[in-house]
Amino acid sequence: MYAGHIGIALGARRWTAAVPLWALIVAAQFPDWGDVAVCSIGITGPAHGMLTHSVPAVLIFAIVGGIATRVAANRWDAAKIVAILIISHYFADLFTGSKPTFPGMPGIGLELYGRPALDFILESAVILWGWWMYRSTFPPAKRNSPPIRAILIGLILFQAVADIAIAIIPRIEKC
Amino acid sequence: MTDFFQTVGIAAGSWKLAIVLLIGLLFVTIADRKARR
Repeated sequence: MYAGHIGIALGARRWTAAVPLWALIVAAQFPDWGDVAVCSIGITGPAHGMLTHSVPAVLIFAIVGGIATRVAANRWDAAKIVAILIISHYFADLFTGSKPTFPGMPGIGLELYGRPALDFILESAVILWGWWMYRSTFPPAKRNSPPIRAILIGLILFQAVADIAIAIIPRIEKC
Repeated sequence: MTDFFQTVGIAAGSWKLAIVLLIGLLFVTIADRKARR
C-alpha cells in the first residue's frame, strides 16, 4: 500500500491530538522506513522482507513505537494508537502485496498490485475514509478550506501516479 | 569493486523509496499546518 497508509494515519488523528500528524504518518509507514534502512545497508532477498514486513518484525516495531510514544507524549492512549498504526501497515499490505509471516513459512496476501485499477479503488476508499475522519477534527467552518481539500486531492493523485507506475513497470524493486 | 558498486546501487535505490515516503509525509504535514492556522 502507498498513499493508503497516510489515509490510515489521517484517520487516526480523529482519536488522538497528543501525537503530531507527522508522527502518526511515520508510524503508519514505519515498516517501509525499515525497508529504507535495510536496503541502505545492502540486505536484499527474503531476509529483507522478514526484517521489516513479517509478523515478528512488525510486532517489535509496534512495541518499540508504543513505548517511545508513551515516553514522549506521556500518554498510554497515544502509545496504543501509534502501536496500532504500525500493526495496521501489515494488514493493509496484505491486500496489496504478498507479505512474509514467520521465518520458514510462506508469505500471504491478495497482491492487488497485480491489478492496479482495483488497488487504486481500494486505496482511494481508505484515503477517503481517513480524510473524512481527519476533516471532522476541524470546526465546521474550516472543513472545506483549500488545504484540507488539497490533502484529499493530492493523496488520490499520488496514488494514481503510483498505480500508473505499477501498471507500466509491474516489478518495481524497493532496493 | 563490483561489490562496492552493487552496494552503492542498492543504497541509491533505497533513497528512491525514502523520497516517495517523504513526499507524502511532507505534503500532508505542510497542508495540515496551513489548515490549522
